[in-house]
Amino acid sequence: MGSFVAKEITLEDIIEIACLKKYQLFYFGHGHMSMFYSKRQMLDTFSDYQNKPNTLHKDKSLTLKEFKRVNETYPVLEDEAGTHVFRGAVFNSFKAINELKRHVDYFVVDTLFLDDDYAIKVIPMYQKGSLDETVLESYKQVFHYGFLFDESTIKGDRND
Amino acid sequence: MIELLASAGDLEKLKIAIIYGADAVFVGGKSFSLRANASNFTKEDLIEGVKFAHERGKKVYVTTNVIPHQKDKEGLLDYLKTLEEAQVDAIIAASPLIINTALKYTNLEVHISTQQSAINIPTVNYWYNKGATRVVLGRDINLDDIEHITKNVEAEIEVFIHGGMCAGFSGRCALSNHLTNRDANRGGCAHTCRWFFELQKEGEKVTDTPFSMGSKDLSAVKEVTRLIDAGVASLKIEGRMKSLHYIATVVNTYRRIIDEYTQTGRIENYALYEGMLKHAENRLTSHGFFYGLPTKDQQLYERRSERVIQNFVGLIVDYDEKTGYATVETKNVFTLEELEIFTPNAMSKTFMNTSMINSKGETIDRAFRASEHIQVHIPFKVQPFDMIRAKRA
Repeated sequence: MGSFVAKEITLEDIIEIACLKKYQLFYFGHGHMSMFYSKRQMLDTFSDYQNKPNTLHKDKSLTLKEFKRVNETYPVLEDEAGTHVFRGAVFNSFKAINELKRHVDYFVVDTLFLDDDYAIKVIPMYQKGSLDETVLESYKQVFHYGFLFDESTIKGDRND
Repeated sequence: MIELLASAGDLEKLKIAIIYGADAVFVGGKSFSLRANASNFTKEDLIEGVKFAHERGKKVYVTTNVIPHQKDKEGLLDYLKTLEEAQVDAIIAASPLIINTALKYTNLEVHISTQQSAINIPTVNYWYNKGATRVVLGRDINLDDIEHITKNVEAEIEVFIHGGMCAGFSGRCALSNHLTNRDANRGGCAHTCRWFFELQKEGEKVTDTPFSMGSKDLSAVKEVTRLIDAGVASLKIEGRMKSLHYIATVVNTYRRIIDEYTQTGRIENYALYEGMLKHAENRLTSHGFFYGLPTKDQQLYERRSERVIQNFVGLIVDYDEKTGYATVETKNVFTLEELEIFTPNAMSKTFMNTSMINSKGETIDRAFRASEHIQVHIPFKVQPFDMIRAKRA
């Protein structure tokens, strides 16, 4: 038996949970993070709203840009299950890999919107414990560390 | 008898919800509640609220529906014990930690929050077998599925009938976390799904029309009778952040629908109830998933639909039958104009406001200070908690 630990928590929390775990621990450690999942066919309804046929279904080249957040676009994908929105910047755990290796049983690299060749390049970096930026240059990716070192808040208007 | 369940952001709203027809009220405490920006109840408020409700044969549920992080666990059992001491009738929870702690260490009744997105029979049965008595269904299923689930489970089923809708599966959304660093599942939701985005294909703008994930609010005026027939235990009105007037209006509308249907077996005039709700509606509404996957008519595009309604101008505090003057707590500016008394147990009555006296004893023709207790001459008997509305458009 095993369980994925949530992606929205800090490294400190992951370690605390891992120290108390009764099951094997899985961790999504690299890839485009899912932010949103709806059962609604939102690209279909959006197309219909504009009186257009839906040519956007299952199109993996679509992104959303928020008007105040111009430095990142967010992949959006509609499939049979609904509508999914992801981070455009790629989540990575390079800075935390040594700690994660000590506490997490399965480290998952998600290649949605990427290809197998990418996984073949990235996985050894985690195995070695160091990022080789030159290898990934062709992908022109922007990286982020999610909530590993920056816990989300509950109240307030930060970045609103 | 089906339960009408309403939200309340503070003690005054709790009382209003009950007076205007709710059978039960759900509130947030100071901890573990998903509306961090709602007023929320202290222990003293809870005790008073529960007393007020129980004296009238009504119930109070407390939302403890956050998904706690490690450090948020601190004080959980103490808090649940506090709720137990306050004699609340149930907690509404989503996290297995909170559910299991309540079931194992307290006598609190546990209702499973919509944040668990329970939309099938095995999920409902799972929580019922764990010890929960009620499951609030996810808002992402149609009436046929609600009916099927309700008729085939032992657990009580609660269904949302009015208020804001999550665009995504409840409890599965982290848009707010990523775009504002505010944790949607710990009370910090920034309603990011209602923002506007530019839709791009391979980096190029697809259309000039802004894309939004936002959903219209839910309104189930015409679906309530079917939910009653299906055997749903509780009909839920969302809106802990909403105003006194909103709560009174929405609760009283559904109270009247339920009463008419249970007493006569039919609804004579839906337009009457839809008209009543217009007094409170500040966002566009639709039927959500009740008839299948939402279409463009259930989504919000291009414009925010909120509109500020300022017709609620005063709350009746007292009435002197000898003089015909009511003590009124002012809520919005009003003048010597045509006004309407909105009251929970009768149809609204209008009158021409001809005389007002402010808190200093001065005759006035315009009430403009908020929360001032003034005297207003009303030519018929009114009661505390009746509301005064301006008739202007």
